[in-house]
Amino acid sequence: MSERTVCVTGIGIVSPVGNTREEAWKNIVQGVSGTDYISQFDASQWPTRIACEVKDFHLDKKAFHDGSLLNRSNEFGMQSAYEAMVDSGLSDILESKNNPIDPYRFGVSVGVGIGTIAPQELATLLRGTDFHSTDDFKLASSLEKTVNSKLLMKNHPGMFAGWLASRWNLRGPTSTIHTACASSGQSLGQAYLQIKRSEADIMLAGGADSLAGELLLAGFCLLGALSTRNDEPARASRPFDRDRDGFVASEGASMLVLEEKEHALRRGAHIYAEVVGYGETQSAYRITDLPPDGRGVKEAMEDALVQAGMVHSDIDYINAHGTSTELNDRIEALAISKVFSSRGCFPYINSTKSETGHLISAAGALEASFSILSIRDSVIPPSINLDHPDCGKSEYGDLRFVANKKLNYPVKVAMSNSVGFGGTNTSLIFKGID
Amino acid sequence: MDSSYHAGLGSVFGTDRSVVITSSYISSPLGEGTDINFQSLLEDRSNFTKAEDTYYGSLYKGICQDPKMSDLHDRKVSKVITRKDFIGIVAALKAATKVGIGKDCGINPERISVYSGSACTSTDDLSPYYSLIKKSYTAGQYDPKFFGRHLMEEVSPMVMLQTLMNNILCYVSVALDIRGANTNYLDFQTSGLRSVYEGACSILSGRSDVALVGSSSAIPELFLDPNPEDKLGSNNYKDYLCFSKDGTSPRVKPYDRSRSGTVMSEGACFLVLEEKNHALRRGAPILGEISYMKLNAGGSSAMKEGSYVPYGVVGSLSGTNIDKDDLLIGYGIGARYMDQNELMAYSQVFDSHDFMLYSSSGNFGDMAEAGNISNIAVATKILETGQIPPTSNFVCSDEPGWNISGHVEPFSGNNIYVTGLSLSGTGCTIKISRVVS
Repeated sequence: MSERTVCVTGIGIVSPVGNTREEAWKNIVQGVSGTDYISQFDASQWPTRIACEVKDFHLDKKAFHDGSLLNRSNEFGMQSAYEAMVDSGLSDILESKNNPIDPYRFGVSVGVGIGTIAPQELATLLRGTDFHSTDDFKLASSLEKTVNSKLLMKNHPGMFAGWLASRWNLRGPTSTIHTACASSGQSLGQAYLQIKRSEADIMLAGGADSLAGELLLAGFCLLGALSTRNDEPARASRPFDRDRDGFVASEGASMLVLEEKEHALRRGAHIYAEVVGYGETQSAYRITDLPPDGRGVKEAMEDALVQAGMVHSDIDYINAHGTSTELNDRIEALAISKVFSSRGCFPYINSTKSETGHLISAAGALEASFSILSIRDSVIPPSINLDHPDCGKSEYGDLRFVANKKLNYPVKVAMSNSVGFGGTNTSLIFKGID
Repeated sequence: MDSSYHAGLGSVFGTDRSVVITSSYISSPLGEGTDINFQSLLEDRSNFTKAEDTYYGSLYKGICQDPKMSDLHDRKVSKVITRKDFIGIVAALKAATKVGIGKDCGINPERISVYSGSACTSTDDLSPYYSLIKKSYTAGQYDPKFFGRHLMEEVSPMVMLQTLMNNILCYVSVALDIRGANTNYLDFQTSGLRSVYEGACSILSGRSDVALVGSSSAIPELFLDPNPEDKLGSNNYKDYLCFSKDGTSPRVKPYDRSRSGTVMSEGACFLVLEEKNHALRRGAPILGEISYMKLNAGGSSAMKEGSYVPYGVVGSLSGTNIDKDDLLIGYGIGARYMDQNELMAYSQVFDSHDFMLYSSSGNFGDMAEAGNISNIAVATKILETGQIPPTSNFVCSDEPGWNISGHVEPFSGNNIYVTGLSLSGTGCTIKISRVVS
């Protein structure tokens, strides 16, 4: 592939630990948990009554003119995209009279969630139907006659990319990806490839999701995937810890501006880091489980290293997928151990899901952002609640978790992993600017 | 460097690799398999069935044959997938196994990639919640707390698994042991073309030797509002859908001046893409070569009303030099504004319209996520047979100068362009060329 270098020139974050990049980052470094009792609906009778919800959020009118066209996760996405675009300096440039940016060279790549209609909205729609019917089929049929198409489009996950392109008049390559928890890791990876392949000079990429609504939360609850540590919300998400009992559902967004390096330098943009490698594999095992030998996760990291032209000793820090579920943590730790064991000592590892919970389709982009900020500030945030690490022990030594306290460390190269329901695995590698 | 890929542009990736199509499978209301579908197109058949009577007249839809349980690799899977997944998985398995792609096929599973496109969760998928919503109304007021309290008693975890939108990607990978690069796109009508695009890039860049690509849709959730003020993006539904006033099956008339809307259909199409030398070495049939592709956004409101230029299409066609002997297969669904806007985009790109323009939507209906990619399979059959099927019900365009035919026409050219436009504004064009041995 060509020698074009891809860098990051803008970052935006809306998360349960802060609704701006710097607020979220400050809290992550301090080990602040975003988990609390569910406030969006009455979960008092549920096995899980906790989640990481975004708090005190208001969509800035400057971010998007009409919030009624966006569902909850797309509001987060649009706000974080606006922050990233302002951060990169491109928002002002695109809105200037002498805008020099070619819109056909500026694309969009987003990872999105399932995007179901909220029950409240379904209820509103159903109000006009044959509501007294006892026949659910008839009820469904009458619903179909009354659904407002605008409402359906608002909740269609494919619309977010369209709204982003529309907001900034972007006409480059545009994609919407859903591969569950790997969605936004993939959206960043594909944006990186698209710049490398010269399909675009700039890509607005990342993800948005909200799992804190009752329909999806109920589904994961019934699958037994969620933590039930209801009495200690802040201690519920504990990746790689012996006492973990499931993940904490979360919501939010992170959007990044990826840019061809020469293009960024020519316009004098601030560069956070370079994207140097992207690995993508399929486990081909089961939809909800990982192969016990770590197949797929391991190859994604190895693929990323090959793409980056790096070896395992080049990696200083891994922001692991680390969900706080028994299966993921054990297998990911095993895969990391297999990739890195021969170097003698392991890179530092954390899972920022211990603070943010699991943002599913937005997780990869948020964790990529934290990895990049680790490089910027030479600090690795703590994996909180990691009191008794119980995985990653091998004959080559133990994985080096950054447990409960931040670590000041000059991170030059960071890796960010994502592992999705459905078998998709991704690994991204970021490198600081010399 | 240009952002479009032309023939031989494996060089963009520093290789001399090229991508060919070795297999296809279309599932549509016209039937199962690419050959059956193409024959139906040549015979100008359609297969629309009445859905319901509405404010505007009778509404029709296009339904595939019910998939057979025996076509799934694992019958248990049927409990955790939706109809669109079922149709898509079967089409993918049939396309792959036809040319020997599968478990223990002798190809390194990490060198096989899979890219799928999918429709999103529909209101039908949420119907298990309806009865609880109904119970949550007391004295005409919806009580969300009641809904939340009782949700756990009413819902099965299977519902959540069914609504995952990467089910096709997952189950096809498991069934065929595909472990290479992969993703799942939700780009409305261009999802399938997007999957072709990335599958070809994966092969050109050397990450894969084989890519299984495709998309599926099971639309007939009609979400029709009898209120004429309800808008769907660029079109009022009244302008978008085809209604029959006399109860007879409606005629979808792509690009024709008397067009009155489309029929929503379901379907799926999967293709096997392969590095050319890899295909030759194992004796796989070569149906055509992918020799150009480009992807663009619309850059304007995705839900604009009425007449506008879809810049996604303009952008994706801007690198083409269509010759008079070439064929352009458009989206052309017979909806008033969409056809008009599509032709406006073509007019912006091309000075003259001496090449032929064709649409299959008069026969398929609007197969949404499966529509544009099916046209790639159709293109391979046009290259093979030298026959362009009729653009169904076409008599006269409202804009002069377009070379569109309502009859079977001969084709002796070497290049066919397939272009698509999505509701979110994305445009994508793929060129399929004849491979001269």
